[in-house]
Amino acid sequence: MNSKEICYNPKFTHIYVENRVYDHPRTQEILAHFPRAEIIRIEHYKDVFNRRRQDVVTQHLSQNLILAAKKENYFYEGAPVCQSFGNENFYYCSTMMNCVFDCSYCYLKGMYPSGNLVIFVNLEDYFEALDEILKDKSMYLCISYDADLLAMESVTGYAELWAEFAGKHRNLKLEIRTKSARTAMWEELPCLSNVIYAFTLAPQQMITACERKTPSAGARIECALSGLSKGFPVRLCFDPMIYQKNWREDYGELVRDLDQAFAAHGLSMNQLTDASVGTFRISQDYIKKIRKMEPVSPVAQFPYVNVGGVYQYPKELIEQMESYLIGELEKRMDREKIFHE
Amino acid sequence: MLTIYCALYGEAQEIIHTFQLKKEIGQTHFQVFSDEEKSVRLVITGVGAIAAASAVAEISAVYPPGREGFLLNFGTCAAGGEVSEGEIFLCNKLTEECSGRTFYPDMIYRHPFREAEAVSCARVKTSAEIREAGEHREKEETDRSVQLYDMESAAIYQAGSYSYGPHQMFFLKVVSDHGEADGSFQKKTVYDFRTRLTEILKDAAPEFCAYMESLRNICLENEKTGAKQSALKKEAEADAAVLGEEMHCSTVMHRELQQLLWYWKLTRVDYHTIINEYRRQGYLPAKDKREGKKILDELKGNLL
Repeated sequence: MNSKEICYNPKFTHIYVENRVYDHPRTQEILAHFPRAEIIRIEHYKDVFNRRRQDVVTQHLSQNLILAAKKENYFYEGAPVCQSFGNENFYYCSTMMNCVFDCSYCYLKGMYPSGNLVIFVNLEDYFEALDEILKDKSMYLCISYDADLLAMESVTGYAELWAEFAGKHRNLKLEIRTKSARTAMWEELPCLSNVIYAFTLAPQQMITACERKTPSAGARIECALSGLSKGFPVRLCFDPMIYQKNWREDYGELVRDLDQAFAAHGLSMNQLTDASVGTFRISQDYIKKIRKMEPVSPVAQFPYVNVGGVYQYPKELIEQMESYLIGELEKRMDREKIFHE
Repeated sequence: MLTIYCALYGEAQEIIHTFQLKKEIGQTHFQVFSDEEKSVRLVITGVGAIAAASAVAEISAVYPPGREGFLLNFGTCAAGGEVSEGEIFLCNKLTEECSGRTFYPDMIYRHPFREAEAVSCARVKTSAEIREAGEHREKEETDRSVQLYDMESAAIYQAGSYSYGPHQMFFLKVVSDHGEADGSFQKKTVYDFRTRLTEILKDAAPEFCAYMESLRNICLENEKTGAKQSALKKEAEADAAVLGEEMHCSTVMHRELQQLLWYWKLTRVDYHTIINEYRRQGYLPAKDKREGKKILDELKGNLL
């Protein structure tokens, strides 16, 4: 008997709530989704999130929620390893920390000390700060980097609130990145030209091997194209591309699946806002932690090359993988719509 | 291994009986019991925070728990009048009364008990104090979670956190009373209380022992997985050590070689055939470090 399979609590059976946000309407709305959860009152989210010696991988098997308020540093400048898609004033923000999905290569495992998911309920403070910034300059803001906002949309409604905010600020461009595939969201979200829905795609073989709990490649493609056919700006992100022995065949199959799906929807890839291509790369500090946590994960244990503190594939492999996929995409969409590092 | 810490022998009796634990003849300052397989160890700490923390520190140093070990603090506690004697709770929050500090063990595994917060106090609480604390809480907080009162759990968490993560520590409490009646025990009362305690623990034993059994099984399962992984890793390291010698590897080269062989092991690449071919053609052992580096680069090139 494998006792592990039968004994984990399902996710969100325990919700830690900061005392200062307990009466916040958004806290109560979120708690209403989990009437049977054990509510544990805490002073500060870091009392739970930053505990010593946590096991992020085990915690992902029974993930819990932490509801908190963020009080400073709402927006950060985009990191050099992230793609800006030619936009100026590239920033990102975290209204959640951590992800419901459990990808073995995810940098969040190296960045955060916990596998539990924090939701900052004081979204109004983010909007107030952003109102001030947007008076002086435009902004390209990625709101779903350190979490998957759309995967939690049925609980939080954050993507909808952000989209409504963007609807009132034409000098704000949002990117909402996701691996989720809930097609019903297209009925709930406003269709705006300055809110881009970015779907991370990968071959099914890679999803099965490294992206635990995520929707299949087919489901993600279907969701993305369903949005595109309704007029939503959609971006496809082939990033990170992960090396597996048969990567060429796997990515070839993914491209063929895309061809079929686009044809079935009567759409062309040129109707996409754009696409990005990038092989896996990660900071050396994060990969060192991930290697300890994921000792038998091939993607974590790959013998990467350290280039200036960033672990990446050998140069020849990067060139082979990226040029192959870019070549395939070029046959289907304009070159200027394809971005890569 | 599952290591259980109890303050009193009376609290441990049912566990010793159920798991057929035998007293260890050891060099520690505490009474220690374990089973034949050494899958469960039970420690009698004595009463209070300092005794409990000392026991956890000493036993964890003598028997390091590693990544797979679990710590369980089991004992009796007091609770408000709304909770019945004999009810079992798993604690999701531990508060040290004297400092106000709180600690949160992870609640990862399924269990059949109600959950509660344990407040660890320096002395036994009176029923009047428990009642007053309950009224005070209701005014301050809107939640209705149960609060328990013991003397050790916060100290055990703090001492345990040097060797265990929050996902490895569990705090199981059986309600034995609702606080001292008048702040001091009479002789007859002590005798009655002990008898009552024995009855309560005997009644509750099937439930808490079944839970301990499930924790032991998880430990064993984790240890098996850990042992398999570490055997596999040792194989790759041993291969890297031999090959490293043949290639005259520097420390950095050796680390790269180890990582490469480990990756190949995980992805089931038959690297022995590749390396033996180098040996067959006379390239290995390499003449010097430079030749060795060339071979290492070629091996890495096999990924492409």
